Amino acid sequence: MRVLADLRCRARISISILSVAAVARWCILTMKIKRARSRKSGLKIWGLLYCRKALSSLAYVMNASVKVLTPQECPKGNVVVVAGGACIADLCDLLLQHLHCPKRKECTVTSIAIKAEGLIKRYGDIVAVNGVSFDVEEGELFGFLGPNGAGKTTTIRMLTGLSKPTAGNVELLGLDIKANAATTKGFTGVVPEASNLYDELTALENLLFMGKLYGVRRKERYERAGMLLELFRLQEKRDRPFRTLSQGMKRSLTIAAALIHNPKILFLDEPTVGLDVMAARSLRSAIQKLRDQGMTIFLTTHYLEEADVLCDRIAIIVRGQIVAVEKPEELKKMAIKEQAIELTIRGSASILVEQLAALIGTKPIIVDSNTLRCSGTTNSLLPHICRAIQDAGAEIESINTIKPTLEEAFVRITGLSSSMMAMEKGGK
Amino acid sequence: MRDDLRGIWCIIAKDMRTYYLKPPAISWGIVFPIAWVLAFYLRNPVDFKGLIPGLLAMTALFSTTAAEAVVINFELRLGSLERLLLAPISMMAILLGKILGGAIFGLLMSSLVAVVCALFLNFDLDWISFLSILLPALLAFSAMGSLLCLMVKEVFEAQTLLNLPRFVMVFISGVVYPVEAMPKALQFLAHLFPLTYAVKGFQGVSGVSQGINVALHAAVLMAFFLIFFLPAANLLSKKFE
Repeated sequence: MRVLADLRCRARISISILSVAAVARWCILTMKIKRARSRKSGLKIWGLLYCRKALSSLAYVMNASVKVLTPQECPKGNVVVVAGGACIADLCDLLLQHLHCPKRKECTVTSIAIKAEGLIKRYGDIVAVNGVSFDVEEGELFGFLGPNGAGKTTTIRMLTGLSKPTAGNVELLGLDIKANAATTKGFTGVVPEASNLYDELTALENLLFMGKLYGVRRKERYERAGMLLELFRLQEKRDRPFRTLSQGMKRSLTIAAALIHNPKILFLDEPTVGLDVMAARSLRSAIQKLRDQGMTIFLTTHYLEEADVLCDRIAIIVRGQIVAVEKPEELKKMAIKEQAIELTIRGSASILVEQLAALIGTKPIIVDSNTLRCSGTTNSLLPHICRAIQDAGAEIESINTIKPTLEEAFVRITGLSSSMMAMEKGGK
Repeated sequence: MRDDLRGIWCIIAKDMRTYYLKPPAISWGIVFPIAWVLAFYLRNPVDFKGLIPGLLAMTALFSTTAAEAVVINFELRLGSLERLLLAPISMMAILLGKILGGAIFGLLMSSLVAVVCALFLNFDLDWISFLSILLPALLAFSAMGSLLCLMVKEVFEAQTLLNLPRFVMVFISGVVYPVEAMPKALQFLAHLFPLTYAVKGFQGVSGVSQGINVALHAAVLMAFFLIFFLPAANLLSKKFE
């Protein structure tokens, strides 16, 4: 039925284009889109179901580079228009100003920076990555979490075009990386797991070489190199050969080298592995700054706290398959639905065990002689718990709400121990 | 195309700066050919002129392949070759940059030996004809070096692997002993190696041998370049799959 409705809608649009007014509007749209396409960026427009007709007409005007996903393909009642090579701002403008959309104010526009569809990588009989699919929105800091050998680096290599997938597709800013290898490489920056710049070149020379390789003009090359050395606090080391820099400085310079051409998407593969606490903190702060500037960042890490602090969304990969993709908070909620409260009592806590068990439904755990941990509680139960304690003649010294950590969520979701992740690469 | 040309130039300039003075390049690419030239000169200074074309070809072979081992295997070991593959330039351009980097090293060394021979041994050479053989020879040797170097990871492994064809070629390609004087089977084998055509070509341009079609030998060397370049490109592509 929906297909029929869609066909009818398209037919109506075709007829309407015959009218003078529609032809005039079509011309305006076509001109705008042509201008937008030259900017070589990608776009996904998400609209409510009510906008379907409007989006379809947009798709019609934008011809082959657009596909309208059916409601079955796109859950939550949204209609998605994927437009390769179109400019987000202009298309937003088109959607909101020119199309007759009854609920256009409810339309939201979201661009997809990285789209992985059914990625599979086989090495002989070994399946390193098995059907990985996800979207990363523009400006998002997306974490890719998993233990060693889970397929993180293999995935990042496929996303950056370094390794050919056995099956599946990758689109960066709406462009297929196979068909547009040079273009997509031009707007991506990659920081591999190893700091692999040139030992013999100085910090500045390494940056200038990378800039030249990416076609950055001489003046801009020098300006950006100076700016990046300053951002990563390497200004004083600019004339020192790469091999003489400390591990942290090498890592920072490797990230700086990936940024010399001002990429739109940055891939970071384990950026803080092997760094001391201060160097890792300084790097995280630099990564946050880049995210704040609107750069899309794809970060692989096995440090759970790092992912929790930095990432807007996290995908967890285990044995080559994605087991969850969510915001850190949602992941925690997904894995641990129950909240726990820790109560410290003046005097012995053991006398309250039975009373609280009757109230909550589960027996509290005695942490120490003064402390009880009640799991399975909700905030609404808190006043009742306090009253029960007061009724028993005890006095509360402190109450702590124990929130689930990403580490707990990871353990629940993957069935792996978090210490396993830390141990595998030396840990912190 | 423009991006690729820029990339090739960047890689050559960086390789010249970074790798030309690495110990393996100096020992196998500079010291070894000079030692051979001196050894043959000291043994028989009177008839040395006849050996110069062969020694020039051998210098070109050793210097280019030694440089290839350094420019490719240092980067394979450190992972910095990946860095080039991530840049918006084609894999062919990267390989060509690496091959030209080795060829330029060979050009410098061979030219140095040729200049010394011309100045101190009165070795007559038409420089344009000399370059018409030297340049395709350098490309063929460099492409051969790149193919073999891409098969291994470490520089020492590459030098060891390269020594096999290098020494076989030195002995059967007419560097010290004329190909025509060898048994038929070895003569046939000699014609499967690019060094034979380089030696003949140098003999032709220097007047040591008469009636040699220099253009044909240059064309054969260019064919060798393609024969080595295409599988090397394929190997590089497979290495990063």
